[in-house]
Amino acid sequence: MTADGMKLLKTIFLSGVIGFAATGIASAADDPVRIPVITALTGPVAVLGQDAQKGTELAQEAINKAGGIGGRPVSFQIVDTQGRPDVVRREMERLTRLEKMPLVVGCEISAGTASAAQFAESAQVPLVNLLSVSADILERGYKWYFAEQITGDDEAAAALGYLSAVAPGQDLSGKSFALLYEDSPRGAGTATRIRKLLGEKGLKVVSENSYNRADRNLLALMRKVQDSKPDILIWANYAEDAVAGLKAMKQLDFYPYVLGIGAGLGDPRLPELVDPDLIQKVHVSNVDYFSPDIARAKALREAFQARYKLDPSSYAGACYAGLLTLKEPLEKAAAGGALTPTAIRDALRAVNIPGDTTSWPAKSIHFDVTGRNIGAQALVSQWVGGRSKSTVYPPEIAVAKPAPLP
Amino acid sequence: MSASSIAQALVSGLMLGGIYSLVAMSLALVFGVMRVLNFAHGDLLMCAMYGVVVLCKALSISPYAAAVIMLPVMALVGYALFVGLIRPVLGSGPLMQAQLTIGLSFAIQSGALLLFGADLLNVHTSIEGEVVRLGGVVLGVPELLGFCVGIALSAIVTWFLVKTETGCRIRAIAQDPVMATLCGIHLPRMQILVFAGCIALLAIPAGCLMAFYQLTPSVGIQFSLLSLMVVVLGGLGDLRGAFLGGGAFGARRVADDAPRQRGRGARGRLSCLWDSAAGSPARPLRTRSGRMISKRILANQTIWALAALWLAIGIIGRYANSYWVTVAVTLVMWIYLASAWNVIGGFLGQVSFGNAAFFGIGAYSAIYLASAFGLSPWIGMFVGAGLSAMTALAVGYLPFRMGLSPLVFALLTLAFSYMLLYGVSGVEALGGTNGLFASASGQSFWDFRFSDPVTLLVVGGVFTTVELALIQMLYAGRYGFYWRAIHDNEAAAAAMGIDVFRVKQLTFALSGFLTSFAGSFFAQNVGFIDPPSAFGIEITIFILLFAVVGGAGTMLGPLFGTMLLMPAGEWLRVKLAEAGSASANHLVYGVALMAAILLWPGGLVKALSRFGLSRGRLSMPTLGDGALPTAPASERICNDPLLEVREVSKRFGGLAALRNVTFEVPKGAIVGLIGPNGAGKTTLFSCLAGSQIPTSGTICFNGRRIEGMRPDRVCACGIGRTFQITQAFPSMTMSEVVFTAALANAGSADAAAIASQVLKDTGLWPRRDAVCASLTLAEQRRLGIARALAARPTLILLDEIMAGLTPREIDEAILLIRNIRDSGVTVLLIEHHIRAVMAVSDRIIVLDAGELIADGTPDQIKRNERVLEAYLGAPEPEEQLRKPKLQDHST
Repeated sequence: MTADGMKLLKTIFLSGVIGFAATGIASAADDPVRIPVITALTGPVAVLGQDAQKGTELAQEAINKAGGIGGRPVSFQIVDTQGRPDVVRREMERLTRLEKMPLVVGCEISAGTASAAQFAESAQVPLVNLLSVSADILERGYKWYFAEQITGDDEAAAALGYLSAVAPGQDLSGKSFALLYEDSPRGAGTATRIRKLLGEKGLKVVSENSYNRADRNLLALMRKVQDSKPDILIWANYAEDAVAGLKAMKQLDFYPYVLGIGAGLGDPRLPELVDPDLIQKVHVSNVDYFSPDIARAKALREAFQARYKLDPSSYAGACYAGLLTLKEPLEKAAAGGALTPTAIRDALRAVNIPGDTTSWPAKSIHFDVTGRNIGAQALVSQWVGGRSKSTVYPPEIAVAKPAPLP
Repeated sequence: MSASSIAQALVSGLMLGGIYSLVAMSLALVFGVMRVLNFAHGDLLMCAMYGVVVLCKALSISPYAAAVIMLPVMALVGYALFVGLIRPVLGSGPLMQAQLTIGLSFAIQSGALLLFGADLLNVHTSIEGEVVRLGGVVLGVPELLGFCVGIALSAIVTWFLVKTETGCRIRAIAQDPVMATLCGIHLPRMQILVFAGCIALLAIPAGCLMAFYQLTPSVGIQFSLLSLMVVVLGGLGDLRGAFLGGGAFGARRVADDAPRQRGRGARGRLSCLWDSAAGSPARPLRTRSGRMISKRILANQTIWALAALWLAIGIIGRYANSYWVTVAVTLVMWIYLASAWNVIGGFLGQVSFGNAAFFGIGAYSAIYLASAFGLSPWIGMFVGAGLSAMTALAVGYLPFRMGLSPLVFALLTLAFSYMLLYGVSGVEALGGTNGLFASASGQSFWDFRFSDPVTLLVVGGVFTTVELALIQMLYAGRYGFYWRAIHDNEAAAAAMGIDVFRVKQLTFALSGFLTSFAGSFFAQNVGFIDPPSAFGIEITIFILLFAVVGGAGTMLGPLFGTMLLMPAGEWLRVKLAEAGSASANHLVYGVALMAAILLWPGGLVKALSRFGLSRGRLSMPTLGDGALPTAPASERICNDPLLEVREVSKRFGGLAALRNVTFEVPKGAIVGLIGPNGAGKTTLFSCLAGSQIPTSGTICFNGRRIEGMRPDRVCACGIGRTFQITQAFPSMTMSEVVFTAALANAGSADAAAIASQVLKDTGLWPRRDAVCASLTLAEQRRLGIARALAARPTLILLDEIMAGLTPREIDEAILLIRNIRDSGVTVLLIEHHIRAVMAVSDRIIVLDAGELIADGTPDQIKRNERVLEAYLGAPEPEEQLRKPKLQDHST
């Protein structure tokens, strides 16, 4: 590079830095109630944060349309954590101690939520978890942690409950089960719980395999599953590996009854990524914490479709549903004076919202002493015709009948 | 697992391997021709894949057709990148280039996220789901097609390189860029061609992959690491190796194994491991003399830097908001981590990509021992550090013992950290993939949890101070000289008596030991760890980034690099997030990083050298008239003959370089060793000096068998050597080099006296402070001799020390050789300058095609028929003697 070129580059570099610093970023007006939402907008799980952001934007509009928090507009501020616990730790410090936020909302993976919950406890600021299904955090005895979300235990219970429900009169002990899971905390944790429940019921697990989520060719792995000749495949996955696995099934002519757990098989974009006929052929069902077709999510679905031309994913749905439920406790806390962490925590402890007034599939939003939402429940949705999802379990919110077991 | 399942795994792996090979081949070509390790290679592949997706959706064409369209596009991208980014840093060293490409990788990943979002993308084709069945094995048609295209294109590339004129030019550059340029090859043009061509080539695997792959913006880094592994596995810069490595790696991926450590890969020569490992135990390094911890330390810039650090800690702790205190805690932790890495990667030049492993071991030790056994994390911290040091010794053993390339070491350490990442994920007691929580905060000091971040900052400051002081003490002592010598020239460092293996091992262990403390600190600070946060590749990337941008191998580089980049990154992240552009964080950071590297390619410390900053001065004692030690380092009790070589043979595969060579060197003699090019003279020297192990035969020196001994052990026995091609130490001065050689064989006070004497004896005293990089050829040759003499040898092996010298310089060299002999050192010299060798030698040995064909006085040799026929080649030897032969570099 010539000397002039270097000079020019130096000038651009320095003026860029100075200009950016001088411009500054306009701070939000003090008027709205500012609530930070930590999520992974970048990094390997960015898809979660980007969906959560969409749900958050709609939730903010819905709350403000309904009068805000006690007349003040709400402003949910998305905070990128890259899905890394150390960044979460620093952000929690910044939000609570520098920005003096009285409440933090987590639309975050389990590792990030665990780090946030630890800090929230020491900073004595309530943290409301809307996405992580980690049950471990609830067992830590925190006083400032509230999880509206279901746990891995709920998912496992729903999976077994669903299988029993779709096999009325049938003896599940005659069926063979294969377990397949990606090896992140999400997948491995789910597999552990399912394995335990299957064992308790004396059901036969003919194979158990795990893989790394980064692997995009699952042909050989699926071949191993096929060799074990399962009737039912219980599979914890994310979207990319779910697509790879389904493609491998088609190549192998392997069509078991597939019950998924996690975000992959319930992703509304699945029919764009995989042949819909295949989805239909394996009766893809999925244990999930949200589905856009349940009656109580109608408003969200319509708004989401109008804005983004597609159905909300579970990430988007959970964040939307959870944020809307904060309106009531926040208003109660504000009614007592300033919105302080203690006031919000007390309001959250007292909250008891009927499930059918939310977009969650929950029976209610009501926290026990550990912060667990005792009304939380998972649902099972099933792809119909390989193109649209219908909620088929539990019966009180189901909108369609599930396909029977083979 | 059934036989058909195994066959399925192997075949599926092979299919993937075909495509990986193509990706790796283009990386290998870039590395081979430019020595640039492109960490953004996978990201550029990802760019091509996004291009393919866009074209497929816009034009409704197949990914294969889109790949063809993408070829010229990627060539343009390659051209622009080379001209704008790569070319300006071609001379800045591989670490800086690697960091530049890491910056590019950040920018590409973030750019893709901004442009395409995080959603999964794929392409539907008419052959999707189609299969071919071979017996019990199922082959996906898209994968099979990708494999076939990979094979075909690899064959075309190989044909191009072997059969075409341009290909020959490229290979010539890869072999020797200087000679290639002298032969008239236009180096810059060929570099552009290769870089742009290799990036264009990525379009093809991109098209093949998109026929069955799901694309997200995070796949780039995976492909980068994968191709690096493949390239190293197959042999660096070797195309066939890259291809074979690709196949092997594909098979591993699909066979669902964890990454394993590998040696030299498909072309590995593991057999020499055991030969090499059978060497004698290492000689212990002498402890530093008290005088080395001198007032120099107090005058050192590190002291000032530490003072500034504590001033900053004081101000931040007293006045800053707790958030900024937390940022400062993180900053201090990264300074500490980058400094710990700098010991092995910077000072010693052995780049570790696996320090995340030690970080993770420290993190898990502290939390696990606290939660499972109720031990204080302080204890866990030390247990982890001990464990890390032992692990480093184990991981470093093979590559250091075998003398593998630093890049192989780098990739081995990377593989090791991945192994721990996946390994820990599968251990339930360690929380598996769910991770582990630290005990609750706000308890006693003993519990290492502090609700007040200022306490944590002070603890971090203490750790960093202790670490930097320790490194400074080592650097100011014996280790500083050893590190610099090994960094600059490993072979010559070994020949001067430094136990390179031991120094590398101990330094790597020290780096691991120190890094582990930061892991424990991190775990207690964050309160939760899981395998990615403790062992993730990002940790290593950021460590390297901070150290290299600051200045790898300099005392304060890691400190400056971290202080510039870490707060800047944090500020940028927060500000962009507030502006609603969080996704652009890595884009801006990556671009800024590239700009910083382009502006200061030598690192910040070099850029700030005008303000008095230096890489850290070695603690040279004042050389002068100190009394020489009474007893030299080597034993002087000699038998006669001093050296006995019996039936020594050396084979390289089918080639016999030496065949049953037998001769003796009497004490106090000057013995010449002559012979035509390729006669095996330098191989014989290498066997004598320990650089090569004879295939058979014995070498007895001073009554002791030395064949198979390591070079430093041979040196300790009393044999010094010079090298045919001068082995300089570019960053050191002459006096530092000679002092280092003396130091490796004597105490520091004696070393100063020896170095002074040797510099005077060899006529280098007036130029003693000249940096080696600025020496003339004659000075370099003399320095080689001085370095060998500083080890106080009984026998010195001089390898063509007169090559390229003027007649006057040759006369001076002859005088010097005689003086060396007169000082009591026996001399064995290889020389092509017949007049000189005849004039100076008492006896001459002649080798031809690996065989000893004559041994006698110069007069006898002049008249020996076989010698005349094989070497002197003229009936009138006198005529030959007046005509010096041309210098030979090939033996």
